[in-house]
Amino acid sequence: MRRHGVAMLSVDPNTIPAGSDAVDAVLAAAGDARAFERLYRTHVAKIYGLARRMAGDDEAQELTQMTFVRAWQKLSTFRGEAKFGTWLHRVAINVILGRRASLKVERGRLQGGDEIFETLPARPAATDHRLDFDAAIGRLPAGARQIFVLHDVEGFKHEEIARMLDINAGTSKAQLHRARMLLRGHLGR
Amino acid sequence: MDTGTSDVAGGRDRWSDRLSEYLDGEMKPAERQRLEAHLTECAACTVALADLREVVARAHTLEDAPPAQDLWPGIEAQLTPRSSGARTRGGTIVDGPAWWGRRFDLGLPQLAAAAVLLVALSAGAVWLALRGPGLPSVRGTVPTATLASRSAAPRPVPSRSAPETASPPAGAAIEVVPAANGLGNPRYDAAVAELERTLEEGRGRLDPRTLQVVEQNLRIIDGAIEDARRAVSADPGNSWLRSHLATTMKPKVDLLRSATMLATAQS
Repeated sequence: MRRHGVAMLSVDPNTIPAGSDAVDAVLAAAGDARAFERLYRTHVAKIYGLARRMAGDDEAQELTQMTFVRAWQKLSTFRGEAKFGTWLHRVAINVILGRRASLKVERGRLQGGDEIFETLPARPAATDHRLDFDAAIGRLPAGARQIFVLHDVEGFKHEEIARMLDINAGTSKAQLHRARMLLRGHLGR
Repeated sequence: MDTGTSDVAGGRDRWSDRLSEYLDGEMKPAERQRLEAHLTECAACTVALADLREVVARAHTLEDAPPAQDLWPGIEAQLTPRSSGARTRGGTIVDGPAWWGRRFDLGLPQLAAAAVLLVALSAGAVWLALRGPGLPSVRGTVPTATLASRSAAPRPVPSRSAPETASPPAGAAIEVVPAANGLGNPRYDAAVAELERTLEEGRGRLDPRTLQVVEQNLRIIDGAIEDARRAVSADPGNSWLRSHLATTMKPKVDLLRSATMLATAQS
C-alpha cells in the first residue's frame, strides 16, 4: 500500500476521492491553509448552526471561530477512522461546553432552569405560533436548550449527555421533556 | 371526555411527565403497556404525545445556514503554523526565518529561561545606555516595534465577554508599543491583566514546580519592565530605550500566554 503523504490515515488512501474531507484534513494537518479553508467552507454552516442553537446568536460566531481554530490545532489527532464532519462536531461541542463551563454559568443555569422555564409560556399567545421553531429553541433556558440540541438535533444519548454536562441521566431526561413541552407551543400550527 | 383522572395524583397526571420516555422507547414494557392503556382514555396526554412527536420530527429537519459574516479571515489570522514561521505562500504555511520560528518552538521551561536571559542582558544594556557615554538620544523618532504589524490579516470576531482591549486569543498578536511616558499602552495592559486573571483561575491545574518557575520569572520580568519604564520616563525621547522597553514587555505576554495555555490544556 502506498502511504506517501497519508501516514495519518488508517484507511487505504487509494480509496479516498480527490478533494474529499479526508484528503483535505491530511493536507491541512501538513500546514495547507487552503485545504483547511475548504474544510471550513464545507462545514461552517453545520458548526455555526450547532453553536447558535447551543449557545445563542450572540456567541455563535465566536464559538464557530474557536472551533475551527481548535480543529486546526488538533488536526494531528484526526486519524480518519470517523468522518471529518463527525470529528469536527465533537471538537465544536467540546469548545461550546468548555466555553460555558469557563464562564461558570453552566451549572447555575441547569440548577436554575425551573425558574427560567416560567418565563417561556408552554402555551404562548396566538401571535407566537408563527415564531420560527429554530428561534424558539434559542429561547429555551440554556440547560434545557443544550440537552434538547444534543439529544434531538445531534442524536446523543442521555448517558453521553450526562457525561458531557456532568449531570445525571435522569436530569437529562427531565430537561429534555421540559424542553419538548415548551416547544410544543411553537409548532406553528 | 375522559381526562384520565384515575391516573391523577396530587392534581397532576402522573403519566404526562413520562411521555418523552415513552416516545424515546426508554420505558419498561410493563409501564409502557399501562401508559398505552392510559392514552386510550386521556385526550390531553394523547394530544401532548402527538405534539412531542412533531417537536422531535422538527428537530430532525432543522436547516443550517452559514453565518452572515464570513468568519474565515478571522480564523485564518489565528492559525498557528505547523512547523516554524507564520507566513503563508499559496495557501500553505511555510517556514519563516529561524528567529521567528523559535517563537513557536519554545516550551515553557525554555521560554522562562530565555526570558531570564533576555532580562539579564536587557538590564545590562539599560545600565550602559543610562550610565555610559555611548548611546545618544534620538529625538523625534517614534519606534513602531509592534507584533501586530507583522500581519495585516482581519481581526477575529471580538468576544462579547471581553472588551476590545482584553486579551486576544492564544496565538493572536498583542501590540507592544509603550506610550511616550513609558507607562505602556492600554491594550497591552488589558491583555496582561486578562492573561494574569486567566492564569490565576487556572493556577490550581499547574504543577507547583511549573507555577513556581512561572511566578519567579514573572517577578524578574516585572522588575526589568519597571526599570525600563523608569529609564524611558527619565529620557522619553530616547527611541532605543522605548524599543528596549517594548522588547522587555513582550516576554511577559509570551510567558503568561504559554502558562495559561498550559493550564487550559491541563483542564
